[in-house]
Amino acid sequence: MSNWKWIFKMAIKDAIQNKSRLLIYASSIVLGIASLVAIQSFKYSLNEKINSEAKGLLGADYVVSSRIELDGNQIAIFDTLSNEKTYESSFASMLFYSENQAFRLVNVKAVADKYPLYGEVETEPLGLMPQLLEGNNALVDKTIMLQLDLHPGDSINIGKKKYQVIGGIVKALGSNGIAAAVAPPVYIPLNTLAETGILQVGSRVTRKTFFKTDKQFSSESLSALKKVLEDESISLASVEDRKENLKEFFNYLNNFLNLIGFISLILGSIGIASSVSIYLKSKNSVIATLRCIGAKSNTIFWIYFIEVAIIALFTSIIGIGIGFLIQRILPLLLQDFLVVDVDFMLAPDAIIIGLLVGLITTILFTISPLLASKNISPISAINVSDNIKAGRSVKWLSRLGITLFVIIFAFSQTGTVTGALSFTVALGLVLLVLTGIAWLIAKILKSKVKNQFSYTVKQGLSNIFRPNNQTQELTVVIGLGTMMISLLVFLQSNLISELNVAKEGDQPNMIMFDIQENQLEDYKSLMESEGLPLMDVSPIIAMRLDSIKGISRSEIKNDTLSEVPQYILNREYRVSYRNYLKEEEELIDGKFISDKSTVDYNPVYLEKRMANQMEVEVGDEVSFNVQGIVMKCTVSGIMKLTRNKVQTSFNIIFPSGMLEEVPKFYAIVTRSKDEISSAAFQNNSLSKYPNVSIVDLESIISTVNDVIDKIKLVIEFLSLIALITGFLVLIGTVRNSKYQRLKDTVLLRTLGASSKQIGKITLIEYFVLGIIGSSVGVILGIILSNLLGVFVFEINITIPFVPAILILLSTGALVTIIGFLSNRSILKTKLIEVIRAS
Amino acid sequence: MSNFALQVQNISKIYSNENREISILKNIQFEIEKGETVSIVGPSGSGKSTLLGLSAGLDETTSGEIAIMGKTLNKLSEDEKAKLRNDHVGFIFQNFQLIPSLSALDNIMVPLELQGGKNAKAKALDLIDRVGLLDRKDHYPNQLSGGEQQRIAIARAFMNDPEVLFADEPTGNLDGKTSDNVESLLFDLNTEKGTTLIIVTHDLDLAEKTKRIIRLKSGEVESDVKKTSHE
Repeated sequence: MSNWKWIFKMAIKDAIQNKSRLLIYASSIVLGIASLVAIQSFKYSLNEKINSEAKGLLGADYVVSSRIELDGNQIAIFDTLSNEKTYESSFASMLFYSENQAFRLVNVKAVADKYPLYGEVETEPLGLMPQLLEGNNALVDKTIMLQLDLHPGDSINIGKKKYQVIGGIVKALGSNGIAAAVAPPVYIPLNTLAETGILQVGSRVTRKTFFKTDKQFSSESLSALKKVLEDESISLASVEDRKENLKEFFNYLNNFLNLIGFISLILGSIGIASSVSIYLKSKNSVIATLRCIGAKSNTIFWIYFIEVAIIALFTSIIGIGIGFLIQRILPLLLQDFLVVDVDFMLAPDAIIIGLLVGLITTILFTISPLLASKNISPISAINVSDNIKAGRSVKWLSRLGITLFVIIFAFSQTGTVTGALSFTVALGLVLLVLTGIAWLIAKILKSKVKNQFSYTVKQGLSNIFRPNNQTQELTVVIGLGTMMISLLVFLQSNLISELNVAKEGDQPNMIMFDIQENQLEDYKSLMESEGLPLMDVSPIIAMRLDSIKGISRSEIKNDTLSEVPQYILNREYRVSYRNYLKEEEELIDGKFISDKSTVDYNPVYLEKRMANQMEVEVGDEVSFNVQGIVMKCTVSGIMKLTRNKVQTSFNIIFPSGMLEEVPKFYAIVTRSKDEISSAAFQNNSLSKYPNVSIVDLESIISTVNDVIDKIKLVIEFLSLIALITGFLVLIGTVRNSKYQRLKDTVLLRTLGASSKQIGKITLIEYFVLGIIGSSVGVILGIILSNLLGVFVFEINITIPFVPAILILLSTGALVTIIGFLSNRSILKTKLIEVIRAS
Repeated sequence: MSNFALQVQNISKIYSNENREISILKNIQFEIEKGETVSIVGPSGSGKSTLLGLSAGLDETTSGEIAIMGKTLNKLSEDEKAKLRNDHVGFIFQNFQLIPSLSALDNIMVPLELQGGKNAKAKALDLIDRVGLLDRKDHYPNQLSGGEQQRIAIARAFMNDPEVLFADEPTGNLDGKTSDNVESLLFDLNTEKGTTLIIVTHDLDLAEKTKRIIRLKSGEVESDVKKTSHE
């Protein structure tokens, strides 16, 4: 084709002439693109910040962590490379503020001189770290200071030792707000730690040594060294490890946000596909005229292809702009999850992704009607015929293209083929159900709507099944939008209610942990003397994974194809043993053996999700390193845990007769009558057993509520994006249907129909479509939230009746109102203009 | 080289609709010489517009052959037919069929621009002046009256210097006075350019202005009358 210039001119002129109409269609994808760009750009900015501040986040070039004190040989390994070093010992303990008789579980960090080697602990007033080490000083998380009404100069107790508070901690080294909410940090000098009396044999202390060095380990020697250290339960973290860990955590968050953004985009694309299809139908006579004058079918295709591409490009640019604005909001929403302050940056990746995704989705979703435009016969210029459809092969090819695109995008976000396929299949099924319902409704109405109704009712209902109806497009868009909104609302309410720990009745409300073996009997006596029931006493043993199905931990770690998460391989497990399973530990596979002596192997029981992540089933072999000794076990059962009350909960349980001789500590669950007796007992416990930490329900509830509020804010923000997208698509699609009805309405008016009659016809059509679409959407939301509840969150979903009805009615009402209002504008159109135009 | 602008040889057109066949045209046969002016007349449903569509290659015959400027349409692909129309054929429609997104001048330029022609604007300006709408050249179709739209459509039809001009009820949507103006313009330009003019019309006054009248009835040629000169 030699006349590209003319084709471009035609495309641009037509786009300009129809800009308002086209931009309404395209607006449906704006927010989808915006959310993708915002998330991508946020990820870029975050990664840049992590890269630039990684040393500060780790506090050193290398950090060695262990539960035990390093011996001379181990220290020697690092001393050869180290110019400078410092130390930190951290553990959970109780802070006691005698002035107010207040207790709080905190994360004590006892630190040495020069801490941290890089970066800083942000304090209020600024720069208090050097002063910390000058005496019996403490720096306390500033939120706790507010909660307990603590001020600089006040005294607090950590164990038996009294400290003077010199200031507040704004941000601990490499920590985020959520971590601080769960276990707020308190810094004390390391040389005072022994005086607290907290540390006992077997105490859960993490000892870190921070190294600053000019030398660098090669990645091979680092891996080799890590392997040697791992065998001794010592971990070595480099700046690179820290970067990767942080990025991995945020990748999960990013992927989740991206999938939500992507669903918004798909929703918008369905809207734009139907809009372009209708738009091209309205262009039939122009296309036919051009064909009469001699335009080739390809010329026609390219004119409208370029027009759609221009609009997609324009929309993508707007989407990118809005995306960058949202990116400025994301750090505020996520600040409590972040370890660094994220600055606003223009990410080139995000711009490219925004443009590509906008163009590709628009073109994929509109290629079928665009290709159909090639089939418009020039004879339509004389005898207009509307039934122009794309060939079957074109339709299937475009569907295949869309499916592949969805799979590729989902794979890029979930990182697994299963995840990508599950997402695509779920989306496909939802679309299939919605299309099927729309077809069924049209079929039923066609056979049932007879002359028994008044003219307006009959006409309104007929609009749902007669030629040029928009039943399928509207049902899909309304259904998908309502489904997304109800899914988010149902999951949110259930996850939150799941976390609402029982406060009333005889449920436990206090847990004591870190009770040493030699303290157990005395501690029990203390509790009995205070009238506290022993509701549960659990022995706790620390161990690490050694191998899965005979393959060692290090082999699995080095296997790039393995899908076993790193944290499953690296973490220290706290397990328990007993000769029974609790009511909350439902055995869903295998058989419980209460006493090891009855079998000739070592049984172990794993929580369902953990077993899935380890990729083991009943009968598989799993080995644990129990404080230096490898214990080969056989998975004998899989448990489903219900965590809805204050209790000790274990993902790994052993039967009696296996671990009794291993060093351990205990946790006890009890219930105190009221806050006064709880405070008295905590005071008594702290003075006699400073190493024992106590968590009471009130502090859990307030901490959990804090965290939930922050998560809720993020979810609500995302719901808002989905909601606005759904709303825009709805407006676009419904307004689009106005053009379908334009000729009919004008004709009815010419024949003498009153505004009231036309309004009634419109109301009936959109009311039926709105109620059907939103009902199907809510039902799909119920089904999907139940599936996600069972397979992902492992909770039983209860559908909140009132919100479900509210979503159904409000979406139905919204569709009816938008449909009614946009068709009202036809009544204001001058008849002669429409007649001339047609 | 054929002396005929249009050759219609024994064509039929049958539409099938839900197990029913409707015969629109039966065994139509005629030839139109280059430069001739012809009217196709007949009552509604006689097949006039269908015959025009088939003659211009806008639709496929069920049987028989049609040739424009000696080229048999049946053997051409859709794109080849489009090229043939662009090179040799002009169109005027009852409902004008201007492109709403283009100005009056741009509408006139379309046929030449489709060919990739370079002097489209100068020629279009000349034609719009010829139809008396130079001062309305930047107006869009919805800003023009019916008569003005049809004058623009006539200018567009002559833009590619067609050898054959098909006009489907060119004055069907216009009032008496405007019809007269449009008719004069059509015949003046036709005489000036030496085009073969084929008009489908109900309007017997208009038909009388052509040299030949083919009368259709129930899909068949009822009469084919040639006159010696314009009245």
